[in-house]
Amino acid sequence: MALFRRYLFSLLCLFAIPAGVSVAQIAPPVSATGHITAQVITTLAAVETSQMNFGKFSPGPQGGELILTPDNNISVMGSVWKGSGTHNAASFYVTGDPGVAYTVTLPSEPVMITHMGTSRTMTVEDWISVPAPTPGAGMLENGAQTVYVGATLKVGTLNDNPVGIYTGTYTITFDFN
Amino acid sequence: MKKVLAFSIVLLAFTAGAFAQNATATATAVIVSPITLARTADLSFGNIIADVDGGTVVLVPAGTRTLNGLASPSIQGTITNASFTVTGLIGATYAITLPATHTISNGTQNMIVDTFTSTPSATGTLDAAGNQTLNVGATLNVGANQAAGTYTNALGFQVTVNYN
Repeated sequence: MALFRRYLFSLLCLFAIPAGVSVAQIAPPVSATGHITAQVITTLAAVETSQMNFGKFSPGPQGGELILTPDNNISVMGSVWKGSGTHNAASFYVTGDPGVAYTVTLPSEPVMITHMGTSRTMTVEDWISVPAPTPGAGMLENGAQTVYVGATLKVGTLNDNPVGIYTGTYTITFDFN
Repeated sequence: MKKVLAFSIVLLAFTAGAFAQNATATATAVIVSPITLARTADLSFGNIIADVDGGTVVLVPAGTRTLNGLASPSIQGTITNASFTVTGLIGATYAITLPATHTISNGTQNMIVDTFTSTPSATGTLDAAGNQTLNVGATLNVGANQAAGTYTNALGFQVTVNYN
């Protein structure tokens, strides 16, 4: 009987050992955390607070030019006589988020102004501004800034530019740099 | 006596067989290396210009964004997808679980981030080195007249991976 017990024990070992050593380790799920950011910015707004006005003047036989600076000084070149009366540099009031830098973009090509009643024109060119039209030169210190704009008016002869009022429009862009 | 002797021989044969089985079973034991997940980059939607009717910003896992109903600012800001590194058993597949929604705030106003997407999507496969990069994008819902500011959530959003 002792031999039969040994036989039985061996059989038990035969089945028990494989079950005992086959260990399957379960890997748990793992998580990681990421963060999300988004920046909402207020769009720039600009209103024209002063229209550009070269005032009254008289062309001479050769023509000439009127130079209007952003700080509202006007000077004459050539045969043009500047009369009395007002002239104005243009100004724009730009608003947005405080502390934001922005860029002023002036007309890159001459702008035409046209005589009321005829199709005679003069050109406005050499646009300048304060702050300067360089990237990031504008700064909304407290969420606002006034931009002053000047330009040069090319005046023809009296024949080219008859007496009257000349008007035109131009586009100035204020954008985040 | 003769019968007893015969049993003894049979018994020895089984004993030898039992030890052989033991050795084979040890060789087939499987240990699975745990799966790990580590963040390498956070998600950033960049700059958005608020307007009167709001819109959405869809940021794909590849890291590019599309603005719907919103103007594109000239300063785009930082635009990045979230990125994670998954490591584990070579060639193993795993399931990816992304959040349903996540709220970010500037302190006073909230925005909801939802429709999370990932590459790979839903199921990933670890490469010959046991690694894979998991990129995540989502959709930002911008409200009407959304207040200016930096929106975030310090708690973060959770991504989970699990062996299939």
